Amino acid sequence: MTGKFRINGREYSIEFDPRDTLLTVLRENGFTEVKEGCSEGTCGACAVLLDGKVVNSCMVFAATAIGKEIITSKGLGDQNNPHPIQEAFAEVGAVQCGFCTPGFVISTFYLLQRNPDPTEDEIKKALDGNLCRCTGYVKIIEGVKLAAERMKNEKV
Amino acid sequence: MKKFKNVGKPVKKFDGVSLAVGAAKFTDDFELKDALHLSILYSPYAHAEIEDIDVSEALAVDGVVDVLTYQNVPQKLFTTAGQGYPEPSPYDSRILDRKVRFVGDRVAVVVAESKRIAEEAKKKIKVKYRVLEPIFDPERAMDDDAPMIPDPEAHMIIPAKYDPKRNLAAELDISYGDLEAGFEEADFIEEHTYRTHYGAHAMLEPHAAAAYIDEMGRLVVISTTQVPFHTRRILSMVLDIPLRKIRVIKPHLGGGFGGKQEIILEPLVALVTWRHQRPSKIVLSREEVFVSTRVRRSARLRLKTGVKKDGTITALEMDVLLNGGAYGTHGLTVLSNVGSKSLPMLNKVPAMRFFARSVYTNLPVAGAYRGYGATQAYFAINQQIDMIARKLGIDVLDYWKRIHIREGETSKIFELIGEGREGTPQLITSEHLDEAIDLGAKEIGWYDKRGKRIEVEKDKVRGVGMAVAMQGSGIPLIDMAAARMKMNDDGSFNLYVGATDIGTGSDTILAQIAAEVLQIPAEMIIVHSSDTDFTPFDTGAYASSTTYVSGGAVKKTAEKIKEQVLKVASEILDAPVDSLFLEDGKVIHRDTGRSVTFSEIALRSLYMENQFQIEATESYVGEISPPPFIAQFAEVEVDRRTGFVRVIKFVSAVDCGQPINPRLVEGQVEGAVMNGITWALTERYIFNQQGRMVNNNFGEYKIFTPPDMPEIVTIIVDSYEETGPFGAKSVAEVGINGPAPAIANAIYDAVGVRLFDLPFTPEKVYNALKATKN
Amino acid sequence: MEEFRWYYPNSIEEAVGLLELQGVVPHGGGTGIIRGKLDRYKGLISLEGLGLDYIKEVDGVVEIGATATYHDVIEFCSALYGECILAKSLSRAASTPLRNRITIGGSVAYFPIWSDLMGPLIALDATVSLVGKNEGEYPVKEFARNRSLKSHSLIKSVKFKRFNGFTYYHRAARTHFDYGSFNITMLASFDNGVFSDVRLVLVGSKAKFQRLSEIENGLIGRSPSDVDVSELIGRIYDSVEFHNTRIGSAEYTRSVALVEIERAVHASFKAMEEQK
Repeated sequence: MTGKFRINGREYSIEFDPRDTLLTVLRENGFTEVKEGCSEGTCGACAVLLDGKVVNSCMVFAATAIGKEIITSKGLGDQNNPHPIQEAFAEVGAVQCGFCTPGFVISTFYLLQRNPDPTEDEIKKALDGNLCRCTGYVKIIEGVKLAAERMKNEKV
Repeated sequence: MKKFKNVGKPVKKFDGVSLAVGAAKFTDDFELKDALHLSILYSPYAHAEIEDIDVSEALAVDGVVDVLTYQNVPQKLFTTAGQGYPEPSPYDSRILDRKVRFVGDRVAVVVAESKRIAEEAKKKIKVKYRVLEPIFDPERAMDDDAPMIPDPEAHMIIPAKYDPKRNLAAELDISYGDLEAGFEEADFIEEHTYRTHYGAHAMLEPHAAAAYIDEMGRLVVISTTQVPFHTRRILSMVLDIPLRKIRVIKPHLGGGFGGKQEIILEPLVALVTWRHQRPSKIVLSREEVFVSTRVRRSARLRLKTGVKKDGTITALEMDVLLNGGAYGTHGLTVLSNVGSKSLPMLNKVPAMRFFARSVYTNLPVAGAYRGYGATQAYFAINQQIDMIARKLGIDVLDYWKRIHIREGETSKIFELIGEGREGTPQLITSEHLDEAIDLGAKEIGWYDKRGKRIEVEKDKVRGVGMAVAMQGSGIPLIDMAAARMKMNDDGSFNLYVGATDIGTGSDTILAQIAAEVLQIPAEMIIVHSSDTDFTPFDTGAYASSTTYVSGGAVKKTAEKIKEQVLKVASEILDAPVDSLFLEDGKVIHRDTGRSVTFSEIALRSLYMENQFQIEATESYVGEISPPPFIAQFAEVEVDRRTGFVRVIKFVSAVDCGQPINPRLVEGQVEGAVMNGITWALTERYIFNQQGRMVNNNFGEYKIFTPPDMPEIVTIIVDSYEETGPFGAKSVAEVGINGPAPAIANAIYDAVGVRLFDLPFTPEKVYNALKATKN
Repeated sequence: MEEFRWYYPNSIEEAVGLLELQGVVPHGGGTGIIRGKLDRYKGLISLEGLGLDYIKEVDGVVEIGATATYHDVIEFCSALYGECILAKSLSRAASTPLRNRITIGGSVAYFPIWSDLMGPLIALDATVSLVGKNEGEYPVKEFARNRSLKSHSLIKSVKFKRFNGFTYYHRAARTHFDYGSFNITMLASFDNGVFSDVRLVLVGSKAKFQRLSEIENGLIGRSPSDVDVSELIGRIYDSVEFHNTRIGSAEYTRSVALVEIERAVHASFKAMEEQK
């Protein structure tokens, strides 16, 4: 089947198998920043924003995302103009192997949109769908705090 | 503390932003046009022979290009262990074999135009198995009537005790001193048996490999490997492709922890691409990673210590049985490390015996895993010492300070046990364990909490426990690393290293080392790593070797560069080299203050006079392996009525020499700690009676997400290792050794029950509590 | 391989009509279907065009449309009133990204044994509204017991009376993000120092879900000082049975469940104390 998707602000017309997940469609069309870590909704490496809400793209049929707005980590920033969350993660050492990081960035973005000044407990709960095996999460939490701080100041 | 410009600074990991954005490419992110996709058929039996395999229906499926079985792939025996040559692991594996040895062993590989076709066609393969008796209990593996698991032709290529007919993968029996007299002399004997369990590396990126033929007809393999150079060597050997025709690239790698120090998928894609002259690719599913790759081997450790009333340990005997699963990869070396990384800690014990065996069973294959045997050993030792200290009525902190190895001392074990051969005598050149113990104790609030059994909420009791450990820094006189560096017009440098950054940040810290030598900002160094065509040799990312060994190579290389830079500068400034010094990207004349920039030096050497490329290549082999030391403290809360254990706080104080990058050091420790905590509490391989892992996904194999985290604190102890690059030792592995025993000791402190078997499921704690009540 | 297709009905009638097709099932959030075996189905019906993602409260009756997500419910309930049992239980279910996808309808349709939704719905005496062949309103317990009600019928919404009293939720699991081994929901109202209403539900036992009426009856009309809690718990010992669960053996799980039920009761005592 064919569907129109709005990915990172641009419209794409994509042909795909009706059983494909959004994850498969995104990766096969070059959005490799969306990572496949488990394909069962438990690792969060494939997290994207679907109409503004964080979802595991492996748990979404592409057919149900037609016509919707999809934002991946690359939609938030690039290497030369990173989003404050991406910058903060890199700065504090929240990125080790980095395979889980785009997913964490998306979950963090979703959190900070809704709650610009989260407590540590709120941060941890907001990241309850993301696994990381390298960092022990310490620096990731720190990265979220730093990003929140900077994003608040930017707005002022 | 020494003053540095780059070393010791939290320089931002070079690829951090690229990874956070998602631009950095991992193996599965490379677009290979018209690639063939592989799908593997696994054995449903733990032990069986293929009597007949019919692939005709699968081959007939539209889009299927090939089906690999033992009948049509090279049958050379090799080891999947990504180790140096000659490998200290048995040659007991084939790409595909007629016999299958665990549920998850490979039977056939379907090669098709798409993954979906390959997966569908796989279902059409008909296999007739002759089911053999499986062995799951390692204690039974060497019984006279036990069936032989390994290949009848399996062999070691180095001299070592190896008896495949008896399912013995490795054996060591090492001793010094008069053991009998030691035990005789003791006032009491403390003897216990400890059991540690299988563990999954659970790196977030599944194993993957891709291959293509380049424009010169050479074979290029991109893979999730911690050991690109070993991979190239082993591929050439197994597939009979000249090594010069193979290039192995490690792109960004999504975590390894030892699980990718193994040649698993590369032979498949290399074979398919070489045979069909087309690109090919395979990415494992999470289930496949759990079932068919590698695990931490389980261990049964019997530890016997003779102790005098004054606390002197008079003799120690450690009897170890490791379960290596269906193949012998890393068997001997992990076995060695159980002893060599742990027993030297107790170097004052006058008599020791280390008797250890690793056996084959029909369970998933054990490989390398962060800690590499030391983790299993410290689980036993730290609980044993806690028990002895309690019996003696002294604080375990004071007791450890009395018995642990110290700077300037040695242990006989260092020379007796090496890696598949005899060891290397060495003195401990830096050791700050006492400070680590003191700082950690202060942070956890040891003296306010130990033995206090504080009940914060009804029936929820808190306790504290601790553990100490050491590891190594590379394998002395075996691990070799090389680096190459060249200067560019603007005074920047390309640094080429074989060292394999698997997410640790080694590219960044190696640049910091080079930048320190040259007194330039680290961002003036552009690092290229792990490409067998373009970077010099390095054994790879294992054995905690990168900072110390690869770092040593980079430092030597940068020093050579420095000589050349000074030489050109002395021509420009017309001043003798010994009157010049480096600072902030300039060479300065000490007397006059006249200076010349690195860029001016580069431009002159490249374009103007006495032209030459400023460049150097150097190699480094460690003569010793200075251990990092760590003291780790856990505060737990035990629900006295349900047995649930929650870690409240976990503190590590580490002596890793001079940290090259303190943030990355903390990150290594924090990651290892979390891995160690979940291994102790929630991780578990659950097998059914047929030997099949039933919880092969993250939904059922539980590791923590952020809301499960305890407070984690990491303290870096002031230390300096004279033999290391700018004082550095390793840090990657040591942090995983303490969590399990520290938690066990803390549980005892809280509720008075001793847990000898991992993991500490709530039911085990509950049953132990019930047993003490009755 | 047979053609697999998606249907996008724009009305409930149209959706109900599609249920007649062989091997075609409704798609709520998809999280259950994706993880199952897809080759079982010939097609999926997207419910997105049906306008069933509403949540409303009219005269104290809360109605949640079938395609409202867990996230929507948590937001709605937390905003409407503080101590909402559904907000408590659902915010412990799955993970943030999954809660943005899992729908009430899909959850009710499958009701897995680890469901964090079932306990509260039973305690709230919720009803399930169906359209299609078995059109009507069914008590959630009946709906869960009688799986055939689902055939040729579509879940339209779930309704329950808003509850304002004491709420307690406990879920036994290995980690925060895990399938619960069992969960306990307790609702209670107090009147002049005695229990006027108690609803206690255990989900995950052999019975899958059970109202613990012995305890409910042992509390109603009494004040905490009149209650011998361990005697009360003793009364349900035989009726609370488990299979082996993720946290441990059947017998162990029972012991833990009994402890946690006792804790729920004590928490209600404490709440009553504080209310005074």
